[in-house]
Amino acid sequence: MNSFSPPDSQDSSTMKTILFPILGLVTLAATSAYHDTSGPYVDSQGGVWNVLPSPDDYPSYAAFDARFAQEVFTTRDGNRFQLDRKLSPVEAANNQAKQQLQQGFFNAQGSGNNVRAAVSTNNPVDEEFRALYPSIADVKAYIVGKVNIADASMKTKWGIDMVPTKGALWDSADTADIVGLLDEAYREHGLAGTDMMHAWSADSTSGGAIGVAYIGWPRLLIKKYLSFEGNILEHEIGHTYTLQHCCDGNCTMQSVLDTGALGGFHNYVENCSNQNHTSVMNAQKNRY
Amino acid sequence: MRTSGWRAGCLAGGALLLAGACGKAESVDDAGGLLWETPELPGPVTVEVNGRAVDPVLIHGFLLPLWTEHGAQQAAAGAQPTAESFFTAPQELFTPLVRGIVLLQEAEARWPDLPAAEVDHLQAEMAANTGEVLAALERRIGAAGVRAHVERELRKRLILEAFGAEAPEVTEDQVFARYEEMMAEVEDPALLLQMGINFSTLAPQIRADLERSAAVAAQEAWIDLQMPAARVQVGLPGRGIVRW
Repeated sequence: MNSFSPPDSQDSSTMKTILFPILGLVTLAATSAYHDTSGPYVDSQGGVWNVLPSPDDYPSYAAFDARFAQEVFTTRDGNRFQLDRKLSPVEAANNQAKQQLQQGFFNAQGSGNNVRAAVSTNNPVDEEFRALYPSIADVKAYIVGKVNIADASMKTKWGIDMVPTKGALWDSADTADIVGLLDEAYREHGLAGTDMMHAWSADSTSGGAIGVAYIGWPRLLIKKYLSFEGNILEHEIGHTYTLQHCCDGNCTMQSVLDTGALGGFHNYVENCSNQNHTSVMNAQKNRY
Repeated sequence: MRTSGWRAGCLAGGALLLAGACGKAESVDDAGGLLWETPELPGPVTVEVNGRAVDPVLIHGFLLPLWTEHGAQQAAAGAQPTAESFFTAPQELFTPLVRGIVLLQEAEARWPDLPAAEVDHLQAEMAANTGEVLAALERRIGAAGVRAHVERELRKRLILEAFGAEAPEVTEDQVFARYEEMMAEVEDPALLLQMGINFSTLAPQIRADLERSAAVAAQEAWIDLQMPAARVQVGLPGRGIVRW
């Protein structure tokens, strides 16, 4: 057991350990009943988490960050991920102001942008997300708009266009944690013949997380969160290719979302992630 | 929100010994329908500009977003997208691609041989910034396709830089004027200042943005001059060859 768990997580783990010999599978079944999860999750120090930690369980966001900003969890299937937490009210206000500022840049495109390659995406959208919009056309328009935000730097700088070619009606499970939601979306919808899966959810059971991606797999999940889904998408894309949280103020992979860092990735060995994105990516490319 | 069927089943049965079986994945059939689906891009489509065939990766990359958008428009009108509805006006449809190819051909003429080290560097940088997206692209078009993509991107950068060098210089007054415009558009500029975001921190980014705009304007003006002489041949499904 880890010594860092918030009360509900560690207590439930401890209780389970005590009760297990007595109640055996009863405890397992009851746990399953309350959480559709890909846990228990194991942190980098071997600590076991039946419930993902949330900032709400900690005295401050700073305390949460001190413990989890760089933490990497592993699911029971061996998939690794980091926690992308919700923002504090002050952070949210700051990010909204930065986002408005970013919108002021011209980002001139030019005809060179018409010479590009396209990557197709499958987009499962859950019922809570869909319910926020009056029609399917509105859902699609919203998602395309958010993909375009994440896509803007991708297209302008790298000539790659992410295209939402498919959208799927996804009925997300009750009481799933965010990693459970990602697994469910992939299990039920997957790539569906496209290159990547971007799942969209407004489910309220995320445990204080706003997005998740498995490190090294072409699948991710974005929560409906203020107006920041485009930034969340870009951040999660970084995770899919093994990028981990950094502390550089210009880096889009900061553990706390920063809308002012859209399109920014560091290209040197950075202290928090201990990664140089370029070398990491080169190593990862050999997987294919 | 729904309760997961298989988990509910596990509980309802009270069959604790079936806990292992409860881990099975839900059927795809249970997952519901499609919100939208873009049919396969109609093909084959071929494009030649000034007598040279355009890489199918570029034709696909150009057409797929437009085809997806066309599909949405047709769906809103209660119709299916078809090759006929999509290729109604080929010249209008393909002109943006032709403009890009004219630019690329000029870049290839100016920089026929690219230093391998520069291509390697850009490819590494691209991989670092695009992550699984580039990997997904590589799975579809292969390593050679990605290499060709990187070379095109490098040439596009070089030629934009060349046009930028010819563009009028951006002055400090222009940078400051743009800064004031941008701050006027923000609801709470005081909040940005409080965060340490001010003219001195933003000036380099604003300057780069203005310089890029000037370079793009010069580049587009050059393409405008070339377009009347461009010879284009497009092969379309069911339409044969269209030339202009």
